[in-house]
Amino acid sequence: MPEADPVDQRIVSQVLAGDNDAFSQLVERHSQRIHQQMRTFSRDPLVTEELVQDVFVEAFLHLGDWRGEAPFGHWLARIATFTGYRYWRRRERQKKEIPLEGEREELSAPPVEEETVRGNPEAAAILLHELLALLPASDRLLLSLVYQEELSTAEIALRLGLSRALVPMRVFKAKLKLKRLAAKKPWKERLQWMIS
Amino acid sequence: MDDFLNDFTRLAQLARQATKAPPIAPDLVMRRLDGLIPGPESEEVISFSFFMGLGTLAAVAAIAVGFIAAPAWAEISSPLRILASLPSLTSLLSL
Repeated sequence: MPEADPVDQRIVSQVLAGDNDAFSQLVERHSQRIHQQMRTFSRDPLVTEELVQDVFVEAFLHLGDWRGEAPFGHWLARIATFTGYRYWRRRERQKKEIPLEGEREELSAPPVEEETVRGNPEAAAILLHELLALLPASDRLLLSLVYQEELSTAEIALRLGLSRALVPMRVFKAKLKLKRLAAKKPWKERLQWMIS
Repeated sequence: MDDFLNDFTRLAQLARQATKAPPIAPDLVMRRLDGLIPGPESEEVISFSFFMGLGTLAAVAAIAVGFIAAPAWAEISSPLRILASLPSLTSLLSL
């Protein structure tokens, strides 16, 4: 496992000693990576910005828990994963109560042509996000870690606190579930080129 | 695995080439933290309001005790008043 960066260690020690302003250096050093990670959880720029702030607030409040054995970025990424997951779970609960605006739009959304997506990474990222949103939060998280963050089985196990043996099995099940859901209306019509 | 998952994998590969997110201005986070961490000034405000609250509570308690105790005191004090008027009674009897 890679070691912790001494610069991060020094800044964390400063903050723990009472220099709260030093925390801004940690934000500066890690915010881009965390912002990128939070895009997995929402494509809305305002929401992602809010989530990034949540991650750093959470990190600040639990800074003493970082033991400095692993890189600070790994510890922060774990907090980010759980912050994002909690956000998805909140959204799931809201969806059960009131169907969200986005979902109503999705039902009448036009088909996604292969040509629109091919060679257009932004369109592909939006489509990938919408497709993964078909899954329950736990399966969605697993596939996001595999396909969006490109983590290995060992890294996923570490990030989620699961056993290594369990991860491939759960990823396989999530993939099958996604395939089943994408084969249903309205996605069947939207993604004919993928499902045929 | 199959066509759908192959396409899905290709879609994910393409999506990863999308524009990377910019860094977040540290000020945004620090402002959020300012609202959460009690600084020395806010500690003073907290202790001032605490003692103000305590003073008000003590005053209200004193008034309440006064209201409760007044009728009781009246009951206790009436035999005392009788006793206090006894000398005048004896003086009457002596007449």
